[in-house]
Amino acid sequence: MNLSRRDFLKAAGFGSAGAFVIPGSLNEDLSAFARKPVDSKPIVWDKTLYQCCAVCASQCGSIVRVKDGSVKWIGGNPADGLGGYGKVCVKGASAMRHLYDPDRLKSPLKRTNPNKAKNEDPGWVKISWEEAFDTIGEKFTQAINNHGPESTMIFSRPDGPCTRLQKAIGTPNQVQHGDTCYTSAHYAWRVMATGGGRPYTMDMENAKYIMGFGWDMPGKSKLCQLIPFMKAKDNGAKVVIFDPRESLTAGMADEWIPIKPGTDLAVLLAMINYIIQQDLYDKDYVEAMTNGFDELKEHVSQYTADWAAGISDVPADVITRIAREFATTKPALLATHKRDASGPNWANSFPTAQAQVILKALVGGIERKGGFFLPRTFSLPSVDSFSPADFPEMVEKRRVDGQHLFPLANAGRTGAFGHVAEGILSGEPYPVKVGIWRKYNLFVAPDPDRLAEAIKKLDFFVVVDIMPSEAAQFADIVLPDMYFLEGSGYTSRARNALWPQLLLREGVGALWENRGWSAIVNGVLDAIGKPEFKVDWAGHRDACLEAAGTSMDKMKQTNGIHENKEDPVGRTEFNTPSKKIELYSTVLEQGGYEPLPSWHEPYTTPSQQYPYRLVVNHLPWLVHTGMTNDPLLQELQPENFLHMHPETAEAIGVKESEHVVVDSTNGNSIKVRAHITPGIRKDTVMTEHNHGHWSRGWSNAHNWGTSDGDLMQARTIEESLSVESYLPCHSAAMLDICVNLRKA
Amino acid sequence: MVKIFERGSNEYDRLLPRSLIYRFLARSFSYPGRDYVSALNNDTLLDCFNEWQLLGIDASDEKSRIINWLKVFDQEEVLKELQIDYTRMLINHYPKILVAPYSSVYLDKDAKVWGPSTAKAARLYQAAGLYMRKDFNEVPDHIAAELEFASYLISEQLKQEKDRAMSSDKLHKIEREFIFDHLLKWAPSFFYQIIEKASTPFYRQMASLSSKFLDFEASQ
Repeated sequence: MNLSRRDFLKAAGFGSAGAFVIPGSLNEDLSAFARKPVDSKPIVWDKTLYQCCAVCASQCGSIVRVKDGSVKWIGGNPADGLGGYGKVCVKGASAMRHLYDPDRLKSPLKRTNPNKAKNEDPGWVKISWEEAFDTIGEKFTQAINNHGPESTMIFSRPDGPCTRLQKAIGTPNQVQHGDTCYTSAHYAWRVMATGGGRPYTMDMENAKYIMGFGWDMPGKSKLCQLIPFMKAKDNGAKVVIFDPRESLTAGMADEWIPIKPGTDLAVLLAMINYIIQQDLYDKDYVEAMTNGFDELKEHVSQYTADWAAGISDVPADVITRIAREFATTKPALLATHKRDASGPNWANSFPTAQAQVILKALVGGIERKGGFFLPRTFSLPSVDSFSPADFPEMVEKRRVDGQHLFPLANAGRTGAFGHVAEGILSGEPYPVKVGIWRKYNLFVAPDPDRLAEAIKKLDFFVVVDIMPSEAAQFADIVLPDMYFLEGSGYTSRARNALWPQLLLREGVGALWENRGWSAIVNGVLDAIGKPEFKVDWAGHRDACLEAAGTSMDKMKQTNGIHENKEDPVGRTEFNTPSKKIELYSTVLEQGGYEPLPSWHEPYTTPSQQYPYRLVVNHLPWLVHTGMTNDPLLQELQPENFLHMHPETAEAIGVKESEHVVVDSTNGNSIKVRAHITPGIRKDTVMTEHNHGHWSRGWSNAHNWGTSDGDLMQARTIEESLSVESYLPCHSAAMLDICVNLRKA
Repeated sequence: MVKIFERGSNEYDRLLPRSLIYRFLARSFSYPGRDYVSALNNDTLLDCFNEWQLLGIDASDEKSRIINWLKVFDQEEVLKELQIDYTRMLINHYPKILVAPYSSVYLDKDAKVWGPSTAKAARLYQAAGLYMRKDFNEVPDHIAAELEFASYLISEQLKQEKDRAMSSDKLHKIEREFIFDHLLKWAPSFFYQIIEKASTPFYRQMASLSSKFLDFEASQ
């Protein structure tokens, strides 16, 4: 039986159609619209919201203006005196174009084409959240029952929900990107001073002398560093930047010293030696706050300025002059962030990071005005104390990324993206079957194609993201995450945390069927039959705010920020066995590692076949590859270029804008246009990261420029173990390659 | 103006088929579910095609192509084919989303979702006394919502005066503004792209029917 169109006329009302569902018939109710506001999703027409920018990790307080129902403007929160200082950078101000990108993931998707390959259409079909969770539950439970919990993998930053999921499953395999990003500095600080991670808090404004090795944060439009940097310069601070190329920061510096790539350690060791020999160090500070000075003094006496000059191309008199200035101008700041010289770029990055902590300590640059501070944060209840659970014992301790072979790194859960492909492909120490991957790009790893091969080997792969990333092309199930502008909550500032701050985040709500990560993890826990590990995340949020003495509502009254504003008082105790800054690390000594930094060569040395070094830079208006789908930001520079010295260009016979092929020692090549500039060493070329999306799910960014990641070498676990004595944290050594250049 | 609503006038006679066609297209460009596909397999579909004939639009070619295509598959296969085609065109796809179903992508300078055109549509919904449903997980100017809104505005005019949400004049005014100043400014390009990009004859023919209908609307 069915209703004819004329039956419509007889129908009394619109909501009373009975059992029939007939396409286009007027007697079914409206599916998009409600007649009463109570059943509706309210549209916020005009409103001002507080946010904490999550485009990069700087956590700047921001203000979001909603007009005509959508975000029209993002600016800085003037009440935030530590993040953007009342401003947002070009990246933060562009976030709404990412929010409203039509290419965003909108609903859970299932692939219908079983063939996984770069150019294979996954044949996505929209599914419900229930179906997505049912499938995930089935596949994960199967893997856990048949192959043990260790056959499951989580690729994610170790945030609260991720950690909860890992512990509930009982798998050791929670892998994150640390070894490609920050591990060397992280572990050097950990063993020498903090017992935890490294601080990202500098009192730059008060520094009178700022020195950096490859440090270019002001050039990355990181306002939390750019603004105090400019203030320090206004106050008359001298700035000296060692960098193979003239970065934006080097361009603003008083001196740019074009050091040879991979040799920063030699200069640092010679400076340490010179400062000690010349009695220029801060004796009171060293006496009170450090230990191991005598061992250090003896150890570094071999490293003369002449010796370092031969390695680094920095003249000996420059090394000694800068060392003297640095030690005698107070306060002096040795600025560092992540992928600068002490980041995991080279086989010798760990001793480089050690030497930097030592140099800071020698001039009293830790926990003193104008120097580094450990972050001041509110003490908040942990997830497990808020929601205690009886987690299963983690029986298998070996990890698929081999991190268990590096005990120091294994204690810090930073993961090894450089090794994970090897572990999955070889099936050692055991096969992994299923994985869930959140908000990473394949380009995070050296040699992304190899990681793609590894992912394809998994029986079942889930990707959680806001955009159809490269990884999503290989997913069996894709889940749409929320963008930060959609979600609400708070951020406890860990960067530039001179005093404790909580920042309110008021979202505009999910645009489509997107769900937040914590809700997704709760859904997965239900699906794998472990609901007892679920967390009331909103309850935890409120408990944290209460512990800090505020609430979501109260923070609206306090300009979106809750803080204990007071200048930091320098601490005198550190989290090491001796409670002091351990110039000579007893933790490293006990672990069988080199307790003091010694000179070590990088893995690779330029040769006749591969005579050049490659360094990479990020464009100031892009964060990794994440915002590249924005046509406005794309306009700022048409593609990435290979920066080279005029003499280098002449040697290989290319002119401005001509294509150059870059061959890497890892066997891969890329093609990129030349940009000729005197602001770089003759033996070094530079290209910008941020480019080379091959996922055509990024409709604008697809094939825009070239990915430098293809040239990076994925180290084997064996290679990493061969340098473990001085590189205990298995750095991915992202820049430790040599390249050859030829005209295309 | 008032004479439009007199029973027996041409305009009045067209209200029902127009409203039904809009509603049918709204359902057809929503994500296809099992209920939709099973409804396609009974006479309802044939009934719906008649509405085009009542407006004097020749729909015979599309009708026969759709019916022939539906005969080839069983219901589950049809469902899968339609869902894959819908997802790749209108939700997410590799190489890329093929046809964005939002007015703002066509009408606004920066081609994003939730632009000024979205706000315009949402304001008109509000003016007609409608709100976005909580479980409608889409942006307000999604093609399905806009088509359904057009259908609603027209069908309200068919009701007895006392049952209407507002006066016929007001409904008619919103209808004209919505269809002429908004929907017709982007939906024709949208359907043109569907004709180009669809991999199933079903969506290609449905888009062709939609195009013909919008041509009719524009000529009124």
